Amino acid sequence: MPAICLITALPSEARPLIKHFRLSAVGHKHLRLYQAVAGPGNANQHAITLYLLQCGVGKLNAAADTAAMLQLLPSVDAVINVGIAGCERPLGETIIAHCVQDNASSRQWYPHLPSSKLVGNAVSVQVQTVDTPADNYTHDTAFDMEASGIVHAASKVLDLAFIHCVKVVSDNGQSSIERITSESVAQHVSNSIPVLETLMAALPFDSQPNLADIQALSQTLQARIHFSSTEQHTLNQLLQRHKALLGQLPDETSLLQHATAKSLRQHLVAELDNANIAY
Amino acid sequence: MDTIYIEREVMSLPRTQAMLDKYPKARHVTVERYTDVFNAPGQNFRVQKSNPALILAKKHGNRVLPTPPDYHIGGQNNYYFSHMLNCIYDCRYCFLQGMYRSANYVVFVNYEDFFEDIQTTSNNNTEPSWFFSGYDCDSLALEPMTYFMEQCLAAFDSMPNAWLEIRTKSTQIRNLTSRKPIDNCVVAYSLSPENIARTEEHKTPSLAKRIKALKLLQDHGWKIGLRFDPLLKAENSQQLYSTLFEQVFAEIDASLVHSVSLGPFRLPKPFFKKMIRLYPDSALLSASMSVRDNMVSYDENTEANLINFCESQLLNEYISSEQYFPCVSVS
Ligand code: SF4
Repeated sequence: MPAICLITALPSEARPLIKHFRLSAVGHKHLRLYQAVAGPGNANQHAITLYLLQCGVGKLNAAADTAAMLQLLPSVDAVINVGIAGCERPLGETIIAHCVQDNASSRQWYPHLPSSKLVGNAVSVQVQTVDTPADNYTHDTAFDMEASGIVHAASKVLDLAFIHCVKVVSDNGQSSIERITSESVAQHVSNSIPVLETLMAALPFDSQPNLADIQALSQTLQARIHFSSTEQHTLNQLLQRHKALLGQLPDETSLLQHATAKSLRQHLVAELDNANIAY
Repeated sequence: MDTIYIEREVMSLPRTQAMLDKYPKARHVTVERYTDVFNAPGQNFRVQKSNPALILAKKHGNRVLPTPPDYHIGGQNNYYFSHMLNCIYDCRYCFLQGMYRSANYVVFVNYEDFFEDIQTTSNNNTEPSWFFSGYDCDSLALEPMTYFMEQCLAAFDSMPNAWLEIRTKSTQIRNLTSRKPIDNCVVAYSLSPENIARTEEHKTPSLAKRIKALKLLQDHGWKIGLRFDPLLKAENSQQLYSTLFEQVFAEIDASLVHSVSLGPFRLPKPFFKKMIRLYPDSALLSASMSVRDNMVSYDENTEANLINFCESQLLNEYISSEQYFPCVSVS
């Protein structure tokens, strides 16, 4: 089951999401982390495990908490930063980032967006992460304070097809930053939920190979037979090849007859050497 | 095409605008250099392949490069060029999956610079020079959008000392059949047995359609080439390849074929390792392989048997030795 972690900076950004997705606090010592096995299926009707991390304001908090969360939850397959941003577009408009730029370093990331057929008509813009609030608004750049930290940390572990930013316009030339209230933030984020859900449903989890059964068999074998780390790697490769070439995993019971990693490896290699594809 | 990245430098060119007009609903993202997107870390070729973006860029330098030593069809001076990186097809054996981080398509829109470099390279040689297209892409697959080959043919028409090989699996041949053939061009099709094509060459035209396109081109007077590449091993390899040869030569005039080549299945080791990471579920990539000179391939015996079988079938039944070039390998 794929796992997605939503990341917000402010409690007022987190609140409507916690309520909508019926999340509850994990009770971690350092991270403000929430979890639910949520109802919204993705495009291919998989259930997803949903987390929410509230990281605090600024890209350093965002990067540190994202890295800590990914370390704590290695099963997380995707992260989506949700929050407010300043942009010369109508207040409350929801936008998706096609580029995230760190203003201080000029470093850029290009999230690989799902097909527009799947994410509807959501507008995409560049999200520029600034260290202090900015008000030189344009219609094609949205200013925020966390996205680059989140993307930077997450891209060490995840592919750019699984790291996204959904922003809601909270301030623009007509409505300055000073007018933002926690109520308006919560309302804006609430309004962004349909776009967020569409994006979550469109994430391409299905285009990655499913190795769960191979990992499960490998772990069963490792629980009974000693494998060095190199042998573990070789075992996983051989099991993968077996499944790909012969259409199924080898029989668990017969593999467990082997007393050593070496004898098991020799058995699998011999079987694979004799395997041939018939087209 | 959902997302189009456009280098700022080429944004206002009429050719860029014409390509953008073909996809009115696409998101446009301006970038400084195509490499910012294409070479960025953290990309997954397999995931991107399900929804690739288009990148319109300018190719600065290194537009025409010498081919590897065994990549030729009898010429002395051999070069390749790529107006495009990546391919709309998805062959499981394709080395592009191992070479690039990104599956996005890059189209270099400064065609004239390619033609100028080809002309200059050709002028530097007294002997004829061969220029191979379709090394980092399929030459014709995106022709209805790029019109590159249409203009390339016009350029080669005025360069009699330069020969062009158009390597393809595509049936987008309207820009060829609608014009007079040129003498210094060979349209070469990569062909695999029908069942292999169906299993391993995803999204490509079927074997029957490729043969039909070859026949049409031959009937129009174009020189055609046949590239049986890569040769893949199977329990029933001999039957697969002899049926393939029968099917091909039943339709086309063997005596008029310009050149026939065989290509063994070989991949640089780092590419192969990346491909198996991307596609652990591929039977083709999971077969027993051996490593020689940092290249992954079938063991020597298997490879030699396959080549010898195909070679003897071709030479005994269908073509002359003058038409045959054993190893022109690019998958
Ligand atoms: S092998 Fe050729 S046709 Fe197939 S994906 Fe690669 S470039 Fe395209």
